[in-house]
This record gives sequence, structure tokens and C-alpha cells, in this order.
Amino acid sequence: MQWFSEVWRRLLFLFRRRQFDRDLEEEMRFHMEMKAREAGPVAAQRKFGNAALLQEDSREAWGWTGLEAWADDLKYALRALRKNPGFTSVAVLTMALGIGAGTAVFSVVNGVLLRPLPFPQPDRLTMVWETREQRGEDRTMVSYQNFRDWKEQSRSFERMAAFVGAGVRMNVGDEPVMIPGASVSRDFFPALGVQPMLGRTFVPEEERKSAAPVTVLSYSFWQKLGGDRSLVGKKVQFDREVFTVLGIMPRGFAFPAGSEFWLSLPPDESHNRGDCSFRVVARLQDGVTAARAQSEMQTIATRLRQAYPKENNGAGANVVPLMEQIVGEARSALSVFMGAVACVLLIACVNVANLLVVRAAARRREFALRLTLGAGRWRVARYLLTESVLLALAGAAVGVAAARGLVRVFVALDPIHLPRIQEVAVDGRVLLYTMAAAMVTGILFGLAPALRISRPGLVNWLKQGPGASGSGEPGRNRGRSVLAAVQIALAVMLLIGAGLLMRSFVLRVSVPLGFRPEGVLGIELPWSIRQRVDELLERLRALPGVQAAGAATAFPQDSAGSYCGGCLEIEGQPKREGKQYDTGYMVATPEFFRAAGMSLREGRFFTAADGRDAPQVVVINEALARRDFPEQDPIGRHIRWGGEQWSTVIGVAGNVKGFGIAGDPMPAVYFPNRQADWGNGVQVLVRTSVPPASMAGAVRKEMRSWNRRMMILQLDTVDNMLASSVTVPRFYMLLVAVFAGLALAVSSIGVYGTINYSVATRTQEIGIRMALGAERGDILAMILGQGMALTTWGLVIGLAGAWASTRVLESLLFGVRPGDAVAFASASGALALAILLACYVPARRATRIDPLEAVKHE
Amino acid sequence: MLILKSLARLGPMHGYGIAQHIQQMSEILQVEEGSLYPALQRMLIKGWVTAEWGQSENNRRARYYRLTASGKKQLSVEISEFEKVMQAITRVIQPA
Repeated sequence: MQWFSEVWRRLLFLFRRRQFDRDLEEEMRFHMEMKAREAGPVAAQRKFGNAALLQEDSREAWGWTGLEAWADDLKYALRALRKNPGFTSVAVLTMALGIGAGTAVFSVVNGVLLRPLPFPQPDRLTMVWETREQRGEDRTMVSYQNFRDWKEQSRSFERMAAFVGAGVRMNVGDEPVMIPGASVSRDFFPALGVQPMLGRTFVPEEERKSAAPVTVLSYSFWQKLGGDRSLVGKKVQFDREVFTVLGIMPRGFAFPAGSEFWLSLPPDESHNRGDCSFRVVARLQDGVTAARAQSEMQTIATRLRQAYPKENNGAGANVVPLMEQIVGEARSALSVFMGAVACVLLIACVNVANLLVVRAAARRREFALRLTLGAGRWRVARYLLTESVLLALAGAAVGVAAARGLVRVFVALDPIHLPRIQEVAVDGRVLLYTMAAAMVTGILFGLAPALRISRPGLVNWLKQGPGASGSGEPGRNRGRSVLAAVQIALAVMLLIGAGLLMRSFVLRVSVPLGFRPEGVLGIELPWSIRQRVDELLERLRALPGVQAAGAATAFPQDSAGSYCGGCLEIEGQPKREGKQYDTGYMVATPEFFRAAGMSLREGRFFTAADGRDAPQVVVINEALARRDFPEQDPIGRHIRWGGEQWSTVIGVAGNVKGFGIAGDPMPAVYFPNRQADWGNGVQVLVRTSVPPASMAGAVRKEMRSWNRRMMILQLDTVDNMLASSVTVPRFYMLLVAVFAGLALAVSSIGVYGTINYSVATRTQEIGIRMALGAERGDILAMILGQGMALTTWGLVIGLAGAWASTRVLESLLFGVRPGDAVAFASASGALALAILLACYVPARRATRIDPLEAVKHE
Repeated sequence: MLILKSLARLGPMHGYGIAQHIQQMSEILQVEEGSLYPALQRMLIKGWVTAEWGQSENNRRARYYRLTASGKKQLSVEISEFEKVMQAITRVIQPA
């Protein structure tokens, strides 16, 4: 209470300061007059002491002088910055650049990586996968039987649920579309810990196969269906089946990603452990770590492997925290961006620090004057820090405004298909980060000039004239040189990163396609029409402008076809197993090869004669021929897939791009569609004699008239599909290239500033050199040499840094190693060139110095 | 303490009066009279005294300081502490 009223009195004082001053003055005057009447004015004066100082003391007693001084600093800093708009805008824009880029990227990182998942206690949630050691796979799906055994035998989990993706067809306008959803076992919602917003989720009885069909809808799906609360309990029609709506999930709940509805998954009562199509999500028991759960699951998996040696051959278990699962690959990309952003921010800081040093040097007389007049060292340093933090905050404000716009555009475009992208926004946490970054950078780059200028002994500066040369202070120039070298180092690291990504992009795009994408329409159709695909192709072929129409299980540019390591058997060779024997499985119609424009290396492609009753035949690709029939003629040899009938190899097709990772084409087998099971979806290629985009409407109409209910999952030119397949790498490349460009520009400006300043302070020295007979060429070489020395140091540090850090890029690269010499060399070259240019201008200026003028100057 | 004691003894006074009083009472204590004012400000903050403008004996406006309840308490605290110190010092310097 005592304390409170004291604070209250102090606050009151703050608002009545003027009156306080008046009162005090009057009171003291009164005192003096009374005293003077008694002892005479001179004695009164002497007896009283220094009135001004005493007034000051009285005011200080109230404890606000510190704050007032700060306010003065602030006012003065604002005025000083306003008076120098050129410097201020350059500094603010540089900071805005660094902080804006940082904020935008941090928003994304925050939304995707840092913010917890929208489930209660999300760190307790895990995905449980099966591993297949012999194929080197660590996250494969699980059979229902294995899931049930896991669930019964494990003690580490509170709940464990299996789910499998599902889709239903609905008509939107005239077009039937597929709505994605999931079939989930009964523990699914309890494991995630999510309650429905309306109604309820499944009860155990509804898990039975015989139960009436029920469904839970997502918030967005419910909105699409009208958003009526009374929908709960009513029936909706999916496809041909009618479901009762049990409940509506809260807004934003979509697990697995994109799900719009959930169905109850009936237990698989068969004893078939071969159907590995389920994913498992589980909530850890309190106090159980993922590592402990992992070791328990591994024990169970080993037991199951012994009990079912055939199906569970080589199977283990892998417990993956859900966050890691969802964010997964995006992590490395995002950390690369964060690194790039940190580099740009640092460079921006260093640059502003350089600007401040120059500015402080220009104002050193002013500060020396303040110091001699009794300003404390801390007071001067504080003023300079106030100024730099002010600059940083202004930069942050501009930067955040820009970042908001950037993030909105980024989320709308979603160029790299990040998980959880809808959750990305510039929010409080991001603003906090920005504020912190601005404060820290403001203090960081303000510190050097603040300490330097407030150093005692610089009072000597006062004695110098306003235009005094600074060549007597090598220390200061060395500081600036270090800053410039650091900038160069950071820029070179970014340039190398950009170079690596660019090279890998070029390599990726320049991989020979092995087919001709121009003039082809690609159409993706559901698996269900596989039996009638010949009929459809016949109709398409009849359209005017169509040259060829074929279909296969995957577009030639995609690696979406299934593959298997132990499925392919070659007559006369032992059965093999393992990743190096991975072989793609494709089913194709006879005209597929012609429609795709693939080349034939040997033998022949399929014809209409390769029907159901004809001899079994296959086409293999070149990669398979090279791997399995080296130095032999594969034509006429017999192979079989998964223990089915033997087929005769009749042709060898050229490799196409899509099959395989890292640019190596994957060996693949093509089976004729009339002799084999159609695996995945149906991908139709239509080669046209007119521009394919102009045929899209006619093709769609023809398919509709053939089958009104069929879903058309995708219909576009293959050229467009190819372009979008490189969207992600192109985006990575562009982003890092933009950062690298910024870094290059900003650090060139920084070096330019350093050299320029050094030339300006050495005017006299250069004048004397020239007067003593130095040629213009000598001066040029001297200044350029100074710049190159900086560059060399920067390059050495930068190259070492890049060597150590580009490893994080590895997962984003394609066909290039992180230590790629070309990228390192070209980045260094580009940077050296840019710096040379940046040095050339001040160097030229140095050569134009008139020796007479320069010497006379002093 | 001296200020508080003066106010306690003579009631509300202006700064000049306090200075005079202290001077008269203690004769040998020479203080810079002006330093009274910062001290008064500190007491105002602590709430030991209050101040208000009034009429002086020669019809001038003067600020009168008045002791508050917490000021009285403070005075007795300070006196008792002072006495303790004095006793201690006396014990040390008294011939045995």
C-alpha cells in the first residue's frame, strides 16, 4: 500500500512537472529573499548553494530523469534521421529487406514446423509403420492382421487406430468429382483426441460389417452441403450408397490430410496378411517415450515375423512422431530457406552497421563535443543505440508490411505443396520474432559505432578540422574491412547454394525425356474403367484431329507406376530380392507407345493381336535389358512377374524419364493390357495433329457422351504436366537465387561503400603519392588490390562455410553433389567480378584526384 | 531527521523557517541551506510530509510543509535508531 501510493505520487508528479518547477523556483526565491533581508544578498547566495544544481537534484529525486533523457534521445534521434533522408531510407530499406524476407519465411516455418498440431497433446501422437529391411523401406503400410496383433500385444500406447484412404463420387454441377476421405477403425477419433463439433463419432457397434452405413463429415464438406445443423442424423448419398451423418468435425480438422469425410472401417476377418494397405496412428501412454514404444514394437514385430515367416518376411516396426511424419521432407527445404534468410539478414545488418560507422565518423566532432561538455560515455552510446534500434524498428515495420503481402501470395499459390499451408499467416508469434530480430539487429549493428565513438580520447577529434583525413586510424578501417569480408563470405555461401540448385534444376530439366510430349493430351481416369479402356480409345481415335490414342498405368513422365524388388523372374536365373532389383510394372495398350512417341530399340511394340488368347508377351525397357541381359539379346527370352505365367520378350523400348529417382531410369516391364491385371489408375494419352489444348473440349465431350458418370481426374496437355512437375525445384531455385541476388547486390554495395570511404579518407595520401610520381595505373592497382584482398578473405571464409553447410541441401539436389566444383567456382567467379566492379568506381575516382588540390586541402 | 523533528516540534513550516530553526537549534551544524529542498522532495515522495501553499508571516506566498502520520512514525524510528547509535558511540568513547 505504501509502495502503491508512492508510485501514485511519482506518476502525479510526471503530469504536473511544469507546476512543480514553478513551485520549487518560487519557494527557493522566497527563501533567498528572506535570507537576503537578514544577511544581505551575497551571503544569502553563498549560504544557499548552487540553486540550479539543487533544483536539478530536487527533480531527480522523483526518479524520472532517466526516462526523460531517453525521450530526449528519441526526439533527437528522430530529428537527426529525418534530417538525413538519404541515409535513413537506405538503412531502413536494407533492414526492411532483411527483416521482411525473414518474416515471410519465418511465418511459413512457424505455420508448418513450429506450431503444434491441432490435436490435444500432439507430441504424444505417433504413426506406426512397418519396415521391410530387405528392400530398405522404413515406412510401409500395414496389414489389418498385423495391426490387430500390434494393438493387442503392445503396452506403450493408450490407443491405436488403423485407417485407409477412401474416396466417394459426388456430382458438382455436371461433373462427377472424387471427394477424398478415410475409413477409420473405432479408436481413430479417441486416439487423436478430437471431439466432433456436432453430433458424435463412431461407436463400437458401428464397426461391424453388417452395421448400417454411417459417416462423419468435415466442417468444409458440411459447409459445401449447405451447412445446416439439422444435417446430423439425416442421410446423404455418396456414389450409390446412402450414409447416415453422425456428426460434423470442427473446422480445420482434416486428418489424414485433405479428408472430407470418415467412414467406419470394419475389421478384416480374413487371415490374409498380404494386404498391406493400412496406416496406423497411435497415442502414446503417459510417460512412455517414442523410443521405448519403438523398442516394444520391434519386439512384437520380431515375434510376428517368426509366427508368419512368409508374409512378415523381414518386417519390423517404426514409430514416427506425427509432427515429424507430417512435416517430414519440408523440414530440410524450410531450414535451407531459414539459412538463406539468416544470411540476407546478417548481410543487411553488416551493411547498415557500415553505414552507421561512416555516419558516426562524420559526426564524431559532434559527439566529441558532447563528451567534453560532460556527457557520460554511456549516455552517448545509448543515444547511438537508440538511433540504430529506431532504424531497425522502422525497417521491421516496412518489412512486416511487405511480408504480410508476400505470405498471402505464397499461401494462395502454394508453389511447393507444403503440409499445413492453410495455417500459415503472419501472427503474433511471428511479430514477436520480428520485433526480437529487429531489436537484436538494431543493437548488434549499433554497438560497433556506439562503442567506438564513445571511446575516451577521441576528444582529439575536436582539434582536427572538419575535413580532417582519417588515414591515421588504421584500426577503424580494419573494422570496416572485416565487416565487408563477412558480407562477402555470406554472399558467397548463398551464391553457391543458388548455384547448386540451379545446376540441379538444369540437369533435371535436361534429362532426356525418351518420349515426345508436344502435341499430346493426357487424361487421368479412375481404375474402374480399365476393362473398357479399349472401347474408349476406339471412340477417341475416331475424333477428327486425333493421330493416336493409348493408355497405360502411368504417364511416361511420372514414376507413379508400381514397382517391386523381388517380383521379376527371368527364366534360367535364380530368384532375386532387394532394392537393386526394383523393377517398374506397367500395363499398356498397343497404341500407348506411339501416342507417347517412345522409341523402339529392338523388336516390336504390342499390336491388337496380342489378345487374351494369344501367346503371352512383354516389352521391356532399355534399362532392364542392360541390367538383366547384359551383352545378350533379350528378344525371345522368358520372364514372369510375381509367379504368374511366363511371357516372351518381344521388344525393347527406349527409357523414359519418369521411371526412377536421381535421373537413372528404372528398369521396367510393359505388359499388354489384354493379358495382364491393370494395376493403378488409367492414364490416357491422345496424340493430336492440331494443338492439343484446342482438342481438350472435344475429347471431354466425347468421353462424357461415352460415360456420363465417369470421373475425369485430370485432363491437360502433357507439356503442362511436365512444367508443373518441375514447379517445386524451380521454386526452390528461384527463391534461393533471389536471396543470393539480394546478397550479391547488398554486399557489393557494402564493399563499394568501404572502398569509397577508404578512398575519401586517403585523398591526401593518394595526392602525395601522385605528387611523388605514382602513375594513375599504380593508384588504380592499389585500390583494386585493397578490394581484392577483402574479396579473397571473404571468399576463403565463404567457401569454407559453404563446404561445411551445403550438405543440408543434399535432399533438394538432383544429380549434383553438395561439393560440386562448378557451382563453387562459378559462384566465386561471379562474386569476384561483382566486387571488382564495385571497387572499380571508387578506384577510378582515386585516379582522378588532383594532387595539387589534395595536398592544398589541409 | 532534523527536518522531521523541526516540523514535529513547531508544526507546519515553510522551507526557510525549517532552515532557520535547524540553524538556531544546532548552532554548530553548518549546512548548505539549499540542500534542504531536494531532501524535502524525497520526503514528499515517501509521504512523510505534505506541502501546501499558504500565507507567510510577512504576507508572502510560501509553501508550508506538514508532518503526516507516517512521517511521525518515521521520526520515532529514526530517533530510536539514532539513539542506539549514540549509545554505542558513547560506550566506546567513555573512559572505562
